[in-house]
Amino acid sequence: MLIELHEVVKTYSLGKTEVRALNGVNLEIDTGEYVALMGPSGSGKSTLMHILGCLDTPDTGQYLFNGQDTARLNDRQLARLRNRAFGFVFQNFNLLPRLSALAQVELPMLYAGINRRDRIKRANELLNLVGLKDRLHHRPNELSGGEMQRVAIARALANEPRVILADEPTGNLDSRSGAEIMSLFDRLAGQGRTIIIVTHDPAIAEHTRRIIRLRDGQIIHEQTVQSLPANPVSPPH
Amino acid sequence: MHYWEILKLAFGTFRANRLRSFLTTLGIVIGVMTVIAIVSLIQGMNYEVEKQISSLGSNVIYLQKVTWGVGRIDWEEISKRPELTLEDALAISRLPVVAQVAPLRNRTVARLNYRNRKATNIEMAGVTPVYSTVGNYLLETGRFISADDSMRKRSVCVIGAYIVDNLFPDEDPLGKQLIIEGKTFTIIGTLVRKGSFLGQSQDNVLFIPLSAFEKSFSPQKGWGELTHALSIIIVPKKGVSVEKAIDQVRELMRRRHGLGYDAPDDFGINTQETLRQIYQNITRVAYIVMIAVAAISLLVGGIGIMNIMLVAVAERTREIGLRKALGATTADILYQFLFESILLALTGGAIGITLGLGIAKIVELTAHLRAAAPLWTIMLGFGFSALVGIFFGIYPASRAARLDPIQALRYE
Repeated sequence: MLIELHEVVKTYSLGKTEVRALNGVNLEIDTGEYVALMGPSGSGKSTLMHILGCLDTPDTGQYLFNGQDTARLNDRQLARLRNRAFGFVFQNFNLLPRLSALAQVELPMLYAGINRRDRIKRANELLNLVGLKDRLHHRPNELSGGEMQRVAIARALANEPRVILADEPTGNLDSRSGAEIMSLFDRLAGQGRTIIIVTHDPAIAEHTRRIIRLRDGQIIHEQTVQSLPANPVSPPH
Repeated sequence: MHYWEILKLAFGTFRANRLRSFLTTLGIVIGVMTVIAIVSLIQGMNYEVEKQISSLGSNVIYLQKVTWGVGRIDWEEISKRPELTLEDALAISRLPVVAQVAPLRNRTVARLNYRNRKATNIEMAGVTPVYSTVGNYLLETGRFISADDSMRKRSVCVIGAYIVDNLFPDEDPLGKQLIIEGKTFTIIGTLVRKGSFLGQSQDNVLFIPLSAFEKSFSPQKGWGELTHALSIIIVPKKGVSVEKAIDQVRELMRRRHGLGYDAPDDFGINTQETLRQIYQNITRVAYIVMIAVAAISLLVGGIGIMNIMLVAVAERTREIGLRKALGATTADILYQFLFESILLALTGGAIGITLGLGIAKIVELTAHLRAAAPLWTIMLGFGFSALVGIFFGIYPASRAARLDPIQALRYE
C-alpha cells in the first residue's frame, strides 16, 4: 500500500479555541489511484492533504508512506520526501513572480541536486507535455490562469513523484481552463499516476475514480465512480 | 542543493531589488570607505615619515635640554634643567665612541626682506662647520661655514632654496647682504633643494656660525627660549652601536651635572627611535578614531541589512512556504537568505573600498600626501563586510528557515 493513515488526529488552536481538523481518519490509497477528497470548507480536507504531502504531521495516529512511518523521519528526510515523492498543485498556482516558466519547473530539480543541463532538458519536456512549449521564457504575469496552472502541474511532475496532490486546482480558473486542467489530470491518471485532488466541486470529483467525503474531520462516505478491480475500495469506517 | 545554485538565487533577488539593495548597503559603504581611506593615507604617511626619520640617520643622537615626547610634558621641570654648553660638546667629542659632534642653536625668523621681496618663517640655526655633513646638507653654490668663520664670529650665512626662490628669483645671492632681526649677514653659500615634507618646505633654512649666533641674538620669549638652548648632535664612530654611545654620553653628562645615583637625567637624549615612537603615538590616535567611526557605521549598516532582510522574509513568506513544499530543506532556505545578506554586505564593502581608494587618491593629489592601500586593507574591508553580513543576516535567515510551510503558504 502506498498511503496508509491510521486514526490520524490533528488539532489547531485558533486563539483560545481548539479546532479538531482531523478526528480519527483511516485511509488507504494505492499506487495508480485517482482520488477526490471532498467536503465543505472546514471539513478538514486541506489539513488531510497537508498531512498526506508531509507538509504537516499528525498529533496522534500513524501515517505510513510506502510502508515507512513518517513520524520517524527528521526534517531533512521529510524535505526529501516532499521533493521526490510528492508533486503539489495549488489553487492559486504559487508560482514565483520573477521566474520564467522554465525556471519554475526547474525548482524541484534544483532542490534534488540535478545538474543544470538535465534540469533544462526535463523542464522543456514537461512544458511540452502540458502544451506550453512556446511559453518557456514567459513569467507568470505574462501567462493566463490556465497556463499558470499548467506550469504548476509541469513543476509537480518534475521529479517523477509517486503522488500528485492538487488542492482545488481549478478553483481560480474559468470553466474552460478548468476543463483543460482536468483533462490533463485525466490523461496523467490514465498513464497510471497516483493523483489526489481536493475539491468541493462534484463536477471535478466526477473525473476521479474514487471519491472520499469528509465532514468535521472524519471520513463520512466513500464511493468508487468506476468499479475497477485494480482500485480496491477500503471498507467504510 | 549546491551552494553555487543558492548563490545564484541570492544574486537574482539582489538584482531584482537594485535600488533597495544599494540603499541598504550605504552604512557598510561608509564604514568600509572610512577605513580604507584612513588606512591608506596613514600608510602613505608612514612611508613619508619613515623616509624622513631615516634621513636623520639611524645612528644620530640628539643631546638636548628637552626630552622629546607627546602628551604630558613637565615644562616646569625642563625649564629648571641646566643649559648644555660648548664645554659639554667638547667633552663628548673626546669620548672614544664618538666620531662627530655638532653643537647648534635654533631660532625662528618671522620675516626676511631683500629690497621689496620677503620670505617668512625661516628656521635659522647657528652651527659649526661639521653640521653640513651631520645634517646632510649639500651646497648648490658658494661654500659652507668654515672654522675660520666660527673663530672670527663672522656675520656670514648659508641659505636654503626657499629663501633663494623668494628673495633672489633672478639674481645671484652670493655676496648679497641680508638683515636678520637688525643684524647684517653676508650670503656665502646656497643649499641644494630638499623638497617638502608633509606639506612643509624643508628649504626655509638659514645657517650662520654658532659663535656669531651667540654674539648677535639673545633668547626669544617662550618657545624660543627652548630652541635657543644649545643642542648637541652626536654621531658615533662606525661599528659602535647607538645604545653604547648613548650609555657613554649619558654617563658623562650625569657626571658633569653632578647627578646622584638615583636622580633622574636633567637632559634629553633623543634619537630617530624617539621620533618614531612619537609618530606611532600620533597615528595610534588616528587609528582609534577610525576604528570608532568604522565600528559605528558597520553597526548601523548591519542593522540596516538585518532590517531589510526581515522585511524580505515577511514579503517572501509564501515563496519560502512554496520552496519548502517543493523540497527545500531548512538549510537550503537558511543559506539562501544568509547568502543574500552576505551579498548585500560584500557589495557595500566593494563600493566602500572603491570610494575609499578614490578619496585617498584625491587627498594624495590635492594635499601632496602619498596614499598606499596595501592588499591587507582591502582584504580587511571585504572580511569585515562579510562578517557583518553573516552576523546581521543569521537571525532573519533562521527565521525564514524555521517558517512552518503551511502557515507560510497560507500567508497573505
